[in-house]
Amino acid sequence: MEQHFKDILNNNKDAVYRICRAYAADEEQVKDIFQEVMLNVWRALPGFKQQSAVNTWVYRIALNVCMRAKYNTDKHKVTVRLDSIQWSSAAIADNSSSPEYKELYACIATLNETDKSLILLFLEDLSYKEISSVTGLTENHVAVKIKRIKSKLFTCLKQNGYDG
Amino acid sequence: MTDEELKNIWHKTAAPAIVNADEATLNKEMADKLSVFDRGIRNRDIRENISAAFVMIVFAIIFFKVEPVMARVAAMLIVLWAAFTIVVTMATRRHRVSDTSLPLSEYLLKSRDYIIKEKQLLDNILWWYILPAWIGISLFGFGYSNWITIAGGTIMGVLIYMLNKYAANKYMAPLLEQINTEIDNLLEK
Repeated sequence: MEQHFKDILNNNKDAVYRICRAYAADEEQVKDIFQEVMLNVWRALPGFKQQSAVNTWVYRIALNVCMRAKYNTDKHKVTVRLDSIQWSSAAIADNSSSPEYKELYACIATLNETDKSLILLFLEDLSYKEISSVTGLTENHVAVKIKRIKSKLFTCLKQNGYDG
Repeated sequence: MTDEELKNIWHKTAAPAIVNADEATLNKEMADKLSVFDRGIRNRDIRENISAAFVMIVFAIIFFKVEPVMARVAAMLIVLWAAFTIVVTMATRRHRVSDTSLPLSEYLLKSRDYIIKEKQLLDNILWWYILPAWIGISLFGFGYSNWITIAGGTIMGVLIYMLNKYAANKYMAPLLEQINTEIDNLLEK
C-alpha cells in the first residue's frame, strides 16, 4: 500500500494541485485542501477496489474534498498538517503569473461550482466516460453539459480580450 | 480557440512539480496523522456529549440523595433526557459523509441529507431538547417549591431556543440552499 500511495501522489500531485487551486480562496487554502485530499486518499486506499482507474478515483476524492472545503459542509471538521509534503513558493508564483492562465482562471472562477468541477475534469484531459465515473452523471449528460460550459468559457475569454 | 489550446494553457501554466514529498517520512506521517485525525474525531464526539454525560451523573446522584418524590421523579427524567440527547446527536453524526471517494453527485446528495438532519435538529430543538429539560427542571423546582429554579430554567430554555433558531437561519438554511443549487446545477439537463 505504501508504494501504491507514493505512486498515486507522484502521478496525480499536479492535477490535484490544479483542482485545489481552482477552489481555494488563497495559496494557504490550496495547501490545506491538497493535504486533506492526500489524507483522504491514504484513508480510502485500502478500500479501493480498482473498479475505476486510480486517477478518476483520486479526482473524485479531490472534487469532494474541494466541495466540502468550499461550502464547509462539515462544520465540526478536524484538520491536520502534513510536514513531509514540502512546497516551493517560488514555483507557485512563477506558474500563476502567465497571462493566459490568469484569463482562463478568472473565467473558470465565474462558473458555478459544479460547472467548474466538470470543466476542470475536461481540462485535465479526462474522457467523457471518465468524467461520468467521477461525477455519477451519464456520458451523454456530461457531453451536453461540457459543451454548454465550454461555450460559456470561450465567451468569457473573448469578452476578456483573449482570442488565443 | 480549440479544446486543445484550452487544455494546453491549463496544463502548461498550472504549477507543474511544485510538491516535493519526502518519501522516507511520508508514509509514517500519513499513518500517524490519520491516527491523530481519528483521535480528533473521537474527542470531538466526546466533547459534544460531555455536558450531557455530566448532567446524567449529577442528577443520578441527586436521585438517590433527595427526599421529595417530585424532585426524585424530576431527577430521573433529567437523566433520561440527557441520555436521549446523546442518542439523538450521535444518530445525526452517523449521517456525516466520510466517504470522499463517492461520485460527486452522490457525495452532494448525501451531504445534503446530513445538512437537512442537522438543520432539523436545530429547528426541532424545542421538542427534543428544551421542553423535556424544562419539564424536568420545573418538576424539580416544584418538588422544593423553588420558583427561582423554574424561572431560571425557563429563561435558559428561551435563550437556547433563540440561539439555535439563529444558527439554523443564519448558517444552516443558506448552506442547504447552496447545496440544493449545486445539485440542481449538476443534475439539470
